Amino acid sequence: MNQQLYQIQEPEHKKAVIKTAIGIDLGTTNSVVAYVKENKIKLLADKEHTTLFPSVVDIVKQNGSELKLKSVKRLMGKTYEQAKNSPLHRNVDFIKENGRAKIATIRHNYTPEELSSIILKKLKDVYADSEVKETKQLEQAVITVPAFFSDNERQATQIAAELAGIKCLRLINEPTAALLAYGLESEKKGNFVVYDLGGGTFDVSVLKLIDGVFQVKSTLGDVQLGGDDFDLAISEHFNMQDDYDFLEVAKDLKHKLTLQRTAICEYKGEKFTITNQEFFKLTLPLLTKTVEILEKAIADANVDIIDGIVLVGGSTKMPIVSRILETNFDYQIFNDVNPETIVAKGAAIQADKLLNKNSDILLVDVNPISLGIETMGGIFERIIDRNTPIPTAKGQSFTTFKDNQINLAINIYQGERELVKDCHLLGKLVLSNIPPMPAGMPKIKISFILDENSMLQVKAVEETTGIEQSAMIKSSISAEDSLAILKDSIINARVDISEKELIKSRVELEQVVQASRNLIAGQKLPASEQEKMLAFVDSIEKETKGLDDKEKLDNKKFELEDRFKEIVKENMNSLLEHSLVGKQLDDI
Amino acid sequence: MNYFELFNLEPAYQLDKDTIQATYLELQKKYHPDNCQAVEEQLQAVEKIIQINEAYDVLSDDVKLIEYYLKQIGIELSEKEIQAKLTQNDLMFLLELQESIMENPAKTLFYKQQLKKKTLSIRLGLIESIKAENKEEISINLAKLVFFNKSLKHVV
Repeated sequence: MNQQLYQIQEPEHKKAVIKTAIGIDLGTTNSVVAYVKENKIKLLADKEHTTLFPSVVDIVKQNGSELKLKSVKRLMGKTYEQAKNSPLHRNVDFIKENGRAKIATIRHNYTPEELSSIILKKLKDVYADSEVKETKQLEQAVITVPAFFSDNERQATQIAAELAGIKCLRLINEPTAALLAYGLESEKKGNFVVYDLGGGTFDVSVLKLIDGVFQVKSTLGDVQLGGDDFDLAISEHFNMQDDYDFLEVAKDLKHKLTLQRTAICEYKGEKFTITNQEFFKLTLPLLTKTVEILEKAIADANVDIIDGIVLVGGSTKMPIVSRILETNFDYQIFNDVNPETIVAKGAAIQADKLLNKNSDILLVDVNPISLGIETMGGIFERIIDRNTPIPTAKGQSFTTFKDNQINLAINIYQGERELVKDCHLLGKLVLSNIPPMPAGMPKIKISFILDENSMLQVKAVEETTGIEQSAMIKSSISAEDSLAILKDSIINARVDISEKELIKSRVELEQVVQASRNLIAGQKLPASEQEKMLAFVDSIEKETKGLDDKEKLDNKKFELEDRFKEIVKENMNSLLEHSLVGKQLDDI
Repeated sequence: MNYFELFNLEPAYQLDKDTIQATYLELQKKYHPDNCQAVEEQLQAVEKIIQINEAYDVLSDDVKLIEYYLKQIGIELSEKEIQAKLTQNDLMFLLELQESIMENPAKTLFYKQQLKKKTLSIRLGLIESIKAENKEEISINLAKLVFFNKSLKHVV
């Protein structure tokens, strides 16, 4: 039998297929789609040449009335109570399902993700009807989200894309996307602050821009601050906040003020007049909030010079924004871009980079909110600080608190506060089958790995035995929560620290008490001596029970330590090292 | 590979910021997973870029750099050793600062600056003691530097 001859064939030299890169800015008020064609960034337009597509969903309420549902983005990841209290959604009927808010209509109860996917589907239809040649289907895209969106909102956005049949190549932050496009268009380099005030969210990012590399230095924001809030302020100014339809009039007045000093609108036969000066005064608290966030982001960025502030987002068209920035900062303000379409353009650039491996540009992003675990006494121990460049891997070693602890629950949190009760639980990892060992003996290394797509993986290894456990973490934080995180961390930092110190002292004392008991038991002492020492430990424990004074707790600890110093010196030290909250599995 | 090698630098306790920044961007361009074609390449790149990010974090931070440099030449202090080297004055300085902040939270930023200044002057002292090869002075200054830098992190 002849040996079969394999035909060797030159692989066909296919012309490299250039994939159409699409970027979507899924906004609170409007959505924009951009794509790269023949190395040019273009905006998707419908037959009427519109490039801004209102993020509106037409629904029919259960009572039969029609409604144009707006600002769906502000409902993403909300609880029922939060959604029901949203002043922008007073005319919407919410129902509670599994603790989450659903929007009731005559046909179906929609989740915010489903409504978002309807907006995305509409964009897909416009795309199919358009002049974009390469492919008629919008199948994959880079989608932008507010920089301060938590993992949960990000996941909700990804689900919305999936429901619309769009593969999400990556979610990128809106201010970063804006600077990608701005930097390439203007050929600028240096350190820039992006001030991104959209319809419903506010973001600040500080970026360093050199030779096509966009390095994010810091990012901060408020997911509940946007143009909508300025409309509400106008409504309240005229004491019309209970009339939902008046919001449109307020918006109209706001729009008029971008070009005129005084705006007049008529509503139900009545004239409403407002001047820019009045508008400035009544929205000063909102504007001041943006300035504070800007200052903090700049401080976090730790750069020597700032080369300018780039204004992005439709709401920066309000002249009062430039005014407040000019009053507070000496930086040059760049408002020479179309603030409404720049974000989508940046998303298209990133999509082109990812699809066609364009190495001329590179985006180096950071982790926006600190990640960590719960340690002894409910203290939040940060593992990956915010503004750490990603991908990143950080590890820390811990030990057990109780003797013979065989299972260990590791609670993973996201937040900026000192105690876990003020942070947000992302998930839980259980390390089991640890061989029984005295407290303080096991060496448990916990590593966090955050990849370039911001996916978190947590690993725990007991190093003396090699027992290992790992999990991908899905977050459960809500948008409202990230707002709270930011506010809280600023207001409560000082309270936290003293509370944290108190807990630490209490935990240390408990450890010394336990260690002392163990040591007394381990020493070959005469029974009378042993009893005496145990009685002393008991008395300390009794005296300190429920004590809320750090100094007194510490003194008692020192007293105990001094007494046992000679025998326990070495053993004690290992125990005083970092202890992890060790809950037996039965306790969970 | 240590951080200096990764950045193609001679070990040093102070480095030129611009050089670090430029090298960092070069390395990012070369190793960032987004710049890789194949999936397998990407996985390796993630590992490499994690190291690069870690190195950048240390080398671009004056305090972390000097700590890392000393660790490389075998000088490292345990928590206990640090505490033993601190003087009553050091503790008083921090305590008074904490009290001032409690009493006058509006001036937190000002007090933070003071603490920063203190850290900077200790760092200069540490550099002097490294130059003079005075081992005792090095450990005293290192202990103070670590202590004050840690405190700095807690003032928000």
